[in-house]
Amino acid sequence: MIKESLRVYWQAYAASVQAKLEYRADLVVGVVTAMLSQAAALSLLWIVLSAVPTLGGWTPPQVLFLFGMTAACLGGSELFFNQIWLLPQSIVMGDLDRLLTYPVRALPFFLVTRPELHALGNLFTGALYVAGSLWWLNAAWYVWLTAPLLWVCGIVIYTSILVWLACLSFRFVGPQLSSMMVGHNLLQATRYPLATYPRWIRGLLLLVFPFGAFHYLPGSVFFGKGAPLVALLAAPIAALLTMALAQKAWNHGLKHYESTGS
Amino acid sequence: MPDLLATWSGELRAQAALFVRAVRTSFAYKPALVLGMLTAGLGYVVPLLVWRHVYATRASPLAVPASQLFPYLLMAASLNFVSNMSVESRVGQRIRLGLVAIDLLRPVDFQLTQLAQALSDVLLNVAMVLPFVGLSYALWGRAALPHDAAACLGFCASAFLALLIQFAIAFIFVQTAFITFSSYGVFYAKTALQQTFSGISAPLALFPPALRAVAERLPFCQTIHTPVSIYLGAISGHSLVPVLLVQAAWAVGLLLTGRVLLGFSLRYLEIQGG
Amino acid sequence: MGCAESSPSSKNLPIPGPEQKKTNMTSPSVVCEGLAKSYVRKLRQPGLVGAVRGLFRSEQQVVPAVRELAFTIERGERVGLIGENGAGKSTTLKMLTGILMPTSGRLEVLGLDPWRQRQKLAARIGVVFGQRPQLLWDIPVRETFTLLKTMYRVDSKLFEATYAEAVKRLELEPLLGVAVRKLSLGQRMRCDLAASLLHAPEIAFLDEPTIGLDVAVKEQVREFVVEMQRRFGTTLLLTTHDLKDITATCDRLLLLDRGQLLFDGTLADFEKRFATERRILLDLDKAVTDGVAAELASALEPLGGVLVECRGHRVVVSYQRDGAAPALTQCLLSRLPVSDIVLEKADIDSMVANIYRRSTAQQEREAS
Repeated sequence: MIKESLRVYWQAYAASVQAKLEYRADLVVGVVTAMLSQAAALSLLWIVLSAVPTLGGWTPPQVLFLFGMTAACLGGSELFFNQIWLLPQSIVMGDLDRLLTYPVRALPFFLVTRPELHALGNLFTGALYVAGSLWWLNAAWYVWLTAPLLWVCGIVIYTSILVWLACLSFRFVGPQLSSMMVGHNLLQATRYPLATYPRWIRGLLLLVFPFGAFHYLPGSVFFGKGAPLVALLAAPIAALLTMALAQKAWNHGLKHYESTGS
Repeated sequence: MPDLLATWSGELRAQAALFVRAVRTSFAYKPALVLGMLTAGLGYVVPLLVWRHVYATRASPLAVPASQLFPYLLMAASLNFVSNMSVESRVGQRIRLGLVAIDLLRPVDFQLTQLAQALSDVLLNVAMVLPFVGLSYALWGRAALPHDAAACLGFCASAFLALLIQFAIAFIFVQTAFITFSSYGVFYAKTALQQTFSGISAPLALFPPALRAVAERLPFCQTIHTPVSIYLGAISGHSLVPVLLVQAAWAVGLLLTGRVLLGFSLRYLEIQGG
Repeated sequence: MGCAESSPSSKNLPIPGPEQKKTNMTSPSVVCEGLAKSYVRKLRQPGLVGAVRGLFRSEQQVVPAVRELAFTIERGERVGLIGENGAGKSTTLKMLTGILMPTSGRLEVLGLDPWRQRQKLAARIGVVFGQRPQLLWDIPVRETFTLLKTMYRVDSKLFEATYAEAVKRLELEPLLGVAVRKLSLGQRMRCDLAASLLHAPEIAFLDEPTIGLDVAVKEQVREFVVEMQRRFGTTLLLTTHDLKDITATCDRLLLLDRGQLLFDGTLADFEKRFATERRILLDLDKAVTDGVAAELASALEPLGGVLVECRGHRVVVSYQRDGAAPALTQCLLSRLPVSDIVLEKADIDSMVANIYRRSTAQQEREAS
């Protein structure tokens, strides 16, 4: 039963990827510029770390780990669940009607039907940063093994938070793209160690929008910042909680879905 | 030139109407408004916070004192916001929809028309950014104001040239819309370069030598670093003239490059039969 | 009436009949009682000042779209839902399909609560939105069909049969390799119709399935719907503005007005109740002279006829149904040089228009 329904999502995803692959020039331009953007993001770090040796007690390779995880998580979300960015528009235009007449779970099905392949650029750069960082730091084997799991948690957390923000459109009809940019910008903020920020922002990024759970906390464990080993569990717990809340937000939102009227 | 002015004044009126409507819409959707302001702020706040931390924890004094850095960052962010001219989306869309063919039939110059539209965008942006300049004065007092009268004049000239350069760069980048449908790519590539080399996240004096050497040879630093440095009095007196001349040279060179590229693009379009 | 149009070719295909589907045939297709839906609209004051004021205080207004709807649809019924724009047709349909949550009332479709058991219900129904036929993806039509097969867990044999039938009847063959995005409205509509009915649903909800289509495609769509309904015993509920859709495919009519049910009954009942006006159209050999009209009118009056038109070579007389026709015709034939004679009854369009006019007038009276 579960296998059967997973097949539907996979089939939908595969077909959408296939359609995207038709625009080859766009794909190449997209991937290259995504990598360029990620490289550009490093420039401020470079400038800052040429002024001071560490940032909030984090050495350059340690901060690189955060940069890499952030980029990889962003890329992963865009690669699989990019349709979420179109949810506000779909709600306003009443485009969910057709989706809601299909016998599948609407939210996951909606998410997988518009992959964005330029995400491969973010994903690749992110993986490169993480690998470079761990190699530079001579990280233990279990760190290498845990990183992909944290990556998955990160994708879930980030996508779920985007779902919360997008679901605001069910209640407050209006130009909502900017609300989703809040999620994006908050994620980007966690490229720098949270120790850099004032305490209330740190709390916000650990408890309300728990982006810190999938790279900052684990990093604190891996790199001996005094965090206990159990802090690693924060990532899966945050992922499950945010996902559950995302589903709740969606269900609640559908109650207020108005289609196009008449 | 007169037709440019005519285009401009008409454009200005239309844009002003659009502006009022945009403000009204944003007020009507208050949660979106609050979130939107939060978002716009967030992008600028992160570098500020990082630098705040760096200055709080540094062991030895840096090349730029904190009293100069923060007014610099705020002015840089403001100027960057002001020079947001949506050239990519406007021109890109006209190209993709094939409307550019109609534009070229008009008796006004395509590049100049686009420039007029872009500059009218700028005026509205200035209106929106003024409160933030006020805020920066409240925060940093005298240091947030132009250094002296000469700095003020110099800044105006330099900022205008900076806008021309921003426009010219965007105009060059948008030519790729003739080849691919992805305006995303173009926009992000330019943004990435601008973020890195314009000096928006730090004055060039703080750059590591290698990065600084590259940045100084590219036009991007002329769009943010040069005008803001003049504003804060870091460049003044006799050195002002050559700096402005260099900027003017970049502006003219890039605008001309854009024209030549447009010619090539149109020829390409003809061959493609689009 | 619709059944008569089904083509003979379909009888040769090995299509599984309705008896092969495991369904609970005892419960009705649709039951609703006191079904209502209202939307909340924010009131916005005009102008910039109003917008700023709205920042601090905003007022809401509840707009009822459907109020206190009650009807039952049995299995295999073919029902047309009509009404003017804003009468609540689409809202009703979207509640029945689980897209919108009803504000109040009881609603059961195939024994399920549509909104709470949407996914379960979706597997057993088919829905078409003519306003925006969209197969959701940027992918070729053929892939869409394959995906739908997996999604609805359609049995391969059934799929092969319905697929082949749809491709043939709706002439989809040349479209199969094309991305949905590149299809014209008519093409998209045909594909959407096929896609919605591939799994032989127990109920088909068609929301304005022929809107914006040309006459030939409209005909094609109707024939396909009728044939599918006949073969699988599908319950059919369609909304439309084109009453030919109704006469071609339905035998029961629901008439909505401002969210309320104005009529519920068979097409024959509808005609009996509302199509009471008849007309006699005459073509004359010689043009009538001016004096004739008044004289003719007074002669027809005791027989129950009203002279509508009397000019040149043409005379039109209207009368109420029930036996007046023979006497009227006799009277006309004896007085006029008739070359041709046609009897006609009002078409369903003008009947519906009449009903609305009456209902509006009544409401205005009540209001004042």
